[in-house]
Amino acid sequence: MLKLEQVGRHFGGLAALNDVSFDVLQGQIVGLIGPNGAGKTTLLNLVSGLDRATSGTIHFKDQPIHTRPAHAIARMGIARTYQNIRLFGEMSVLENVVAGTHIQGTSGLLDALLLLPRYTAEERRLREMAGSWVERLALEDFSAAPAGSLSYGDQRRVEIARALAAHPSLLLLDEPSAGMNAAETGRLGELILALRKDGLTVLVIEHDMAFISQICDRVVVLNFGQVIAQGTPDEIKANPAVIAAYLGAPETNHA
Amino acid sequence: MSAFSNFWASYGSVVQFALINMILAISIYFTLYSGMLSLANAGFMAIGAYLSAVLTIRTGLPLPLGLACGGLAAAAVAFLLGLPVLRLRGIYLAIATIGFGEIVRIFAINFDKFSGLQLLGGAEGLAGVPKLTTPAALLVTLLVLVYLLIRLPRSRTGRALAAIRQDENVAASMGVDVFRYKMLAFVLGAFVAGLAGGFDAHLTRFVDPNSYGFDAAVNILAYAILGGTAHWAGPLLGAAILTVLPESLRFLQDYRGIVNGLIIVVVILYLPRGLVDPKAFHRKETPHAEA
Amino acid sequence: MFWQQVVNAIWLGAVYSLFALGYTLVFGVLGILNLAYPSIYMWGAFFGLVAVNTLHLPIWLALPLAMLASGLLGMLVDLLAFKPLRARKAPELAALISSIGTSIILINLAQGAFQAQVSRFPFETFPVQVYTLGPVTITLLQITILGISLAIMLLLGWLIRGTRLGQSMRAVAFSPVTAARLGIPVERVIGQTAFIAGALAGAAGVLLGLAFNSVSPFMGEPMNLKGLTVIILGGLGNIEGAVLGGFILAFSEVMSVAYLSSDLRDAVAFILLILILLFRPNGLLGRTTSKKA
Repeated sequence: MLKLEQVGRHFGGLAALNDVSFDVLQGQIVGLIGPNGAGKTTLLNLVSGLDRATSGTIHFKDQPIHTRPAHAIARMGIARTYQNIRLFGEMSVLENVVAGTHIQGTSGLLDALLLLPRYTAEERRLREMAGSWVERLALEDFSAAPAGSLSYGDQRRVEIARALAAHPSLLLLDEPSAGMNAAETGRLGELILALRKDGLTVLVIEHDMAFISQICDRVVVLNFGQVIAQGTPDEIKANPAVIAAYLGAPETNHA
Repeated sequence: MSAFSNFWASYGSVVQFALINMILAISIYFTLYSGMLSLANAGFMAIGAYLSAVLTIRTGLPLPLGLACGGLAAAAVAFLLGLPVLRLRGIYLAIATIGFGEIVRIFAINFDKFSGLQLLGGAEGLAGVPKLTTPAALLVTLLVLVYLLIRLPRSRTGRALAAIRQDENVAASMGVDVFRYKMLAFVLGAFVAGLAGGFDAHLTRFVDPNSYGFDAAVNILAYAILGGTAHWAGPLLGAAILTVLPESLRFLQDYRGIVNGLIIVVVILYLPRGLVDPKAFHRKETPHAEA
Repeated sequence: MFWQQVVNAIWLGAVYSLFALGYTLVFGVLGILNLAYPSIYMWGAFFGLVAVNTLHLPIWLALPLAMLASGLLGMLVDLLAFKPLRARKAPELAALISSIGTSIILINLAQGAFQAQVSRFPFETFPVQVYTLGPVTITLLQITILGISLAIMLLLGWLIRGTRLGQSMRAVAFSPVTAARLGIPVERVIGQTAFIAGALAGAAGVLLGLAFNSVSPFMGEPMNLKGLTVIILGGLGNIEGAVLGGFILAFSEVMSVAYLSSDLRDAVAFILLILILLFRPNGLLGRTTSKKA
């Protein structure tokens, strides 16, 4: 479904990503791991269209997306969450998720003004969709609260609900379990597995290896912008290059 | 009835100017709602004023048609201007719109001279515009616009604009075509400003090119800032206050203009959400970072 | 004719550059576009005028005094209109709006204090002396203006490159957070920058007020857009760019007035502005790096 071929992102002389190639097949849950600064979020930015690759190609459902704008990529069926939570803080939780249903609707300003039936019907449908995602992510209690007032872990779930509201076929998650306790993380894992049964494909950046083992079919390991290993979670855990990258590499402080 | 007639005789024009300024405040509200600082609306107002005035003078067109033409012309120019300019980042967009306003002014002043026509009146302005603006027309227009403002946040378009305002990149990743929606807000604002210009010309019976420059653009911004943009009533209140205030401050004479400036600074420093702030009424808010 | 225009453009360009330097310094170090800057320029001209007319000082004393006064005004504006916004980390557009309001206050204060009509420096302020070099005529005043502008710019260059204050200014311009961590007193540096920028504006005000023999509360209006054009031409925050932009604008203005039409003089700045915003919004010498938090 998602195919990266020799993708690179260079800033002048500095290579944030270099010669990255891997596939994500439909229905898979692929984990993306690596030390801080390895280029994981940069990769996600390239796939979602927030940033442009300087070399290589990215194909989604056999269509090239490395040259397309973010909103077009979203329309093709890719949605994402962010490492630093980027919710619409002053809007309510429900409103955030309703906002996420944008692609699912077609009505314009005129329809809203004239209160045409197609607008009212669509509004109701979008709100119901949003409502059901809020429930599925166990957020009903906070539905009307301003999104910025929730705890860190809850805010992450709102972001996920907002992303899912777009009904994507590929979901990009950037450290979704950060700020969650073990129980919440376990529930999140179960939710993702359930969504996979419904047909969702997932690419997830994570540091929590238990979470990775729980949900991922395959793992891609990045270090210094390059793929150093690919395989099942067990294979990766035993891979000497991966172990060296995590234990041998000096602590870097930037993401 | 005579008490009202007396009131109207003294304050009728102030009320109508307040209504026109409310329409102007609404015109900038659209762009602010989408997170853009555009100071082009005085320029669009000028376009609407000149075109509608020329049409009613030269062809005897009834006011509604003249206004519509003025508004559409402003909208068309906004579209052309927006194509290159809306891609610019916040501050550069603001600067480009300031430049646009001045170009309109210079164009209006020099048009007759360079075209040889006797159309726009040059630096002295266009006189002899028929007084066709009525309070009823202003009120009806205002009511329609207020309805638009109320429906906006509950529409898919309004949500997209609000998303753009809060985080453009997130909006784009949600599937919102940011450029297209910004253009919509920009063109809509221009149309409304053009209408206001037409009303203004047909109330003062005159189109003065110098009254649509940087100062006018700033005034329009002040209406929205003072009233606040969190609620649709904000710009209306801001416009009303800033129209009436200078009248009641006549005794300050030369120092009158300072009040405008002071209001802008004080509001932006200490009341960043403006006067009409729904959040101020909700005590249960957990305090979090201000806009 | 052509060389005469070149000469005109040179001394005019020097003053525009002087003006632009202060403008771009504020953007670089404070990170804001201070739209009240042209009003400080106008007040500088009035400070000079008052020094000459009321205090009966010779122009060579009036100029530094006016620079001092406008420098203090610049600091005051920063203190009242921008510092509170920095304290609560308001978005950059808030500072822009605050500067607009401040500009209105300053202009109206000047109107109230000095009346709206045009004032002039008295005739004896500067000796009238005309020199002719072939096809070109230039007055002593214009030469002096050029000289003073260049001298001030060189002084500024030395300040920025050779002193610790200049180093601190550049550090704060790059990243206030990093500068603070390095022990640099950021707020003090900002205040000093505001002073220097105000002084530059005041100098430009007096010099142009002398050159065109006209001082009015509205003399800052055309500088609104010319100033913006110049600093955007050169790249916001870019010192060399400000100088380059100043000369480009002066040349464009002078040439278009001479060969096209004088009505278009104000339009030239706007056309340049739109062109540069369309094709190189970061300016001719600007880079694509954005300012860090």
